Amino acid sequence: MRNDERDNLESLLDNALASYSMQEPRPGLDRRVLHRIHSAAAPRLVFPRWTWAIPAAACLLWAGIHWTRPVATPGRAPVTHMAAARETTPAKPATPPIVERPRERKSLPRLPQFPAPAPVTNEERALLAFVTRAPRQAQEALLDARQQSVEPIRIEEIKIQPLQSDGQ
Amino acid sequence: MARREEAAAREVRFAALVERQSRFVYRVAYAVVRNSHDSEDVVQETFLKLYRSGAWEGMRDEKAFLARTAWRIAVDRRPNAGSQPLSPDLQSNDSQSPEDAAVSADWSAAVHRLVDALPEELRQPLALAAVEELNSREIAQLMGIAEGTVRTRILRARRILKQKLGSRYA
Repeated sequence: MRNDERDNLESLLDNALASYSMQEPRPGLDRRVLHRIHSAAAPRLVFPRWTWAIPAAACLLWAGIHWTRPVATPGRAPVTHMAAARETTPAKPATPPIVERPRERKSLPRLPQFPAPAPVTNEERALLAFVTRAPRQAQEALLDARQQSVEPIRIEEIKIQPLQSDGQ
Repeated sequence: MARREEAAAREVRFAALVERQSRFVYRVAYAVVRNSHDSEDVVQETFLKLYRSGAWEGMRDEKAFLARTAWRIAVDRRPNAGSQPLSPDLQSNDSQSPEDAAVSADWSAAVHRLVDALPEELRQPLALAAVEELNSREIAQLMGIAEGTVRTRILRARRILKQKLGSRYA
């Protein structure tokens, strides 16, 4: 009786243990494994580190050439680098480009006589009256003025008399 | 041209290996990690590792090789693997003991819970022995221990289980 029970327990244990690791995978395991392997082993484009130096050097070369040789077009102001960069880059729609307007210079009107005639002053008017009324006297006065301006100026010697003492 | 054909033939051979052994590798993994999601991850990792290393082309005993690779990956994946002390103390802190659950409800599920509660050093040989295609020599190879040690541990685990179940069964 005891042996029967023991055998029964053994068989129950064996059955339970057999099902312990008898878990079936979800269908399509091999396909999933192969898919994972192919996706993981797919060759990737790997560039060496110095590859980035090529476009950088090209940009530097281009910038150097354009920096040393400014482009000038006839009948047009020389294009600066900033303006060139502005032309190459797309314009921002939000902010309109700044256009420098030429300053308007107000030029004076051209006159037929230079210097322009000015109104006669009172002194000039009196001189004209004097000349028309007494031309001879005016001529003499002019000659005297010329002679006075030609003659050297006489400066008398400075005479300083000695101080008189009181005899004390 | 010849190289391309050789690579294609190699791919076909590897696909055949996956198709032939993926279920077996899954069971080995499941015996260790006890989780279908993790078991599938172990299978994928095992075959990916073999594919990348190219070691699969020089396998003499492919089952033993695959089982050893899968077992190592699974043990690394299992949390606290091998940290449990080698102790036959299987008493649960739950209100219902494992023995009560075994008698009252699902017998197999109760046995599985008892096996899960075994120390890893006893549980793993027992679980691997439950995988149909593995004998004690192969288990010893993949675990890196002596075949006699495997047998001893399996017997010891069975004895513990019978003790726990027998008291209730009687």
